[in-house]
Amino acid sequence: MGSRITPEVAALEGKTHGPFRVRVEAGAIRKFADAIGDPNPAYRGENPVAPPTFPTTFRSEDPYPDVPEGFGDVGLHASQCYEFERPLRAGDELDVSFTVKRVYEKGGSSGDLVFLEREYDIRDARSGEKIGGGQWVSLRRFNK
Amino acid sequence: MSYAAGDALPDLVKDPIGRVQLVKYAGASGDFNPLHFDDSVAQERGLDQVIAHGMLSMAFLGQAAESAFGAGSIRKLEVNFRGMVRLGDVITCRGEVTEVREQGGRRLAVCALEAVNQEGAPVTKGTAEAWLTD
Repeated sequence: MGSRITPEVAALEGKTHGPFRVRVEAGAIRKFADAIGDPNPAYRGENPVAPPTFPTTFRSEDPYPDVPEGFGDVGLHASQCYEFERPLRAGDELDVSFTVKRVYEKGGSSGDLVFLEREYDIRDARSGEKIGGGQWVSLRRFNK
Repeated sequence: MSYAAGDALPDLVKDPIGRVQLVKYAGASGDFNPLHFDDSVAQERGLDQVIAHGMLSMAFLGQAAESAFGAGSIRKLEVNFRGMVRLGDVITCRGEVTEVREQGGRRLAVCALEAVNQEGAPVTKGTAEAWLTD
């Protein structure tokens, strides 16, 4: 059987989304902690730190590089990783981007799987210093 | 407390997953995939009802790790999504320190983490690295 990866999907490799500017706000951190049901007082008040999955809130209005609508039968989130040089805090101004590092495929028991591996880059907007990163791997399954 | 390899983190037992939490999480995270709040979309996908965001179970593991090691202590949190979290599920997060190592003059605890449902089935598994302060 041939590859499921079309030229259009293969061309996603190397594409970067952003950077886009994010201002980390105390109210957004509190609402995020509330939604999780995490009562930790460090996520509340005037100068909170952000919980480790808070970068999931960093979104730009521009469309991000992704497989086309209708590619595969099911879309799933395979894995996620965040890394920090220091905790993110209210008041941080960040430049956030991610790049599609790898598009690859595997055969699975329930069908062929096409993975999209994206790598984050989170920088202090003023100094340009890298303060975070991570990975987001999504997959599309072609059902047997 | 001070952690060493082999130590378990305190279990974190979350309240049953409810629709209000999924709507709050959608709003707070900005993930408005209707699979997490619209049953008709879930039914088109062959499910009975909406399911939780995978990222919510990752957030639960982050909560378990930062309540053990302190807010802002996480250097790295990495997870694989293994199973769906459904309405009414009671998720328990467990962790165990697998290693404590020196890094740049500080001590870093490495932990294996898992979130399981009320049947004991893993929904999310991963690892955390957290700075130790004591």
